[in-house]
Amino acid sequence: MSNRIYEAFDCVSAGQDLKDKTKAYLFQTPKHCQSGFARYAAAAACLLFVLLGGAGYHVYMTPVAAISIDVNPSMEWEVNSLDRVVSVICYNEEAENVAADLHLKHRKYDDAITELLTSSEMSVYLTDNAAVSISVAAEDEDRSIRIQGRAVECAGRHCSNVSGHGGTASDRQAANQAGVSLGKYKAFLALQKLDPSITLEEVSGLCMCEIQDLIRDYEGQTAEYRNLQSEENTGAQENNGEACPVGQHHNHDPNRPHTHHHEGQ
Amino acid sequence: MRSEQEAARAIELYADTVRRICMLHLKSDSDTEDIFQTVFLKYVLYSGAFENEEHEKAWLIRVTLNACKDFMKSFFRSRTVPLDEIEELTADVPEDHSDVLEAVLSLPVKYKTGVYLYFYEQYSAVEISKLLEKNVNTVYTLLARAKTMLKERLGGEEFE
Repeated sequence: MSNRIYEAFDCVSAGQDLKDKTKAYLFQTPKHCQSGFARYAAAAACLLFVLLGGAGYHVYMTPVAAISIDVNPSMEWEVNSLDRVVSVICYNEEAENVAADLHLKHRKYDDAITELLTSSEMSVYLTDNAAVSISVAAEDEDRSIRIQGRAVECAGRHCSNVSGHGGTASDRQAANQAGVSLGKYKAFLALQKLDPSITLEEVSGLCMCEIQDLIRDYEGQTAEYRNLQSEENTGAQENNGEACPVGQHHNHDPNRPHTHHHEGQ
Repeated sequence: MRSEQEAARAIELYADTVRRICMLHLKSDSDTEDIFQTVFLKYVLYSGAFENEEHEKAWLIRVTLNACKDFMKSFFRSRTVPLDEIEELTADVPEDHSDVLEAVLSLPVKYKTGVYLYFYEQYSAVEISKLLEKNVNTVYTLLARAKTMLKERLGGEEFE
């Protein structure tokens, strides 16, 4: 048996072609004659790729604008230079509940607005002509105006009572420090102009509808007071010019609107 | 790293051995070509010294066996070779030897490697046990079973 097996195996040999191909592979392939320059070039290309990737990631994740959306859920989105939402900040429990089931991040802000306002989670807050406030803050004013216009237009397709507000980066910083969204902070500032004694704590728990109602109430009273003052001035002129100072009248105004915190709409 | 001359010498000396081991495990010429390149590249990159040609040959057999095993594992190859493919592998072998070769190649890998090393390379069971990293008694058992199988396949008496 051994002889037959030996003779059978002895008939098998490596062809010259196979030997030549192996020699060619070992000594003529680029990996054996790769120059130092080629290696450095490959390493540099890899490094450049990593750096570009890192820079791209940094640019993508850097917010250049903030969009605050306030109904009763109060949330703020940070938007990058590609108009994509890169972070979602919730300012109340309602916002957290709504945002939990939605995929808002990495979407264009107008798509995200559509998703938010057409979601079943949000629909419970959008009944009875609920006010939707959209506030935008960006370093670049043109960008802020553009985003605000587009966001309001987009929201207007799904809700009838939409208002847009502009803001600055410092407004947003102040809002964040106060622990409220930009939209609510802007509404507070508007309200504070009408009643300097009102505090942020009183406003922070209100929904936008209630804040707007308050503003309307104050504006109505102011107009009423101005009419009254005009009449009194006319009378005072007639009675040797004695007028009631505005501050005094306000401080003693028994009809100052009260702030109410409603649990949702 | 070894020089071009050293590699060329090794290829001329051991190419047939590597080719025969490849034939035991692989099914096609292109697979054999891949293993050839892998084995001799390892040889070129190996910086250790060989005591003599026997040591060098044993090292190449070990590397070839491992390369074939890795290749088979990486491509989820089956452990046995279909008969029609065996006939293709032995197509260049003269007819009076092809039946023996086909019988050896149709054995499971663990048997045919032992048969090749024992009958062709003339290694002892102890040497084969070192090359295959198996117990000596296991090698004896493998060889005995392989002989029995070959007798059955090739018809008996002439293999005594």
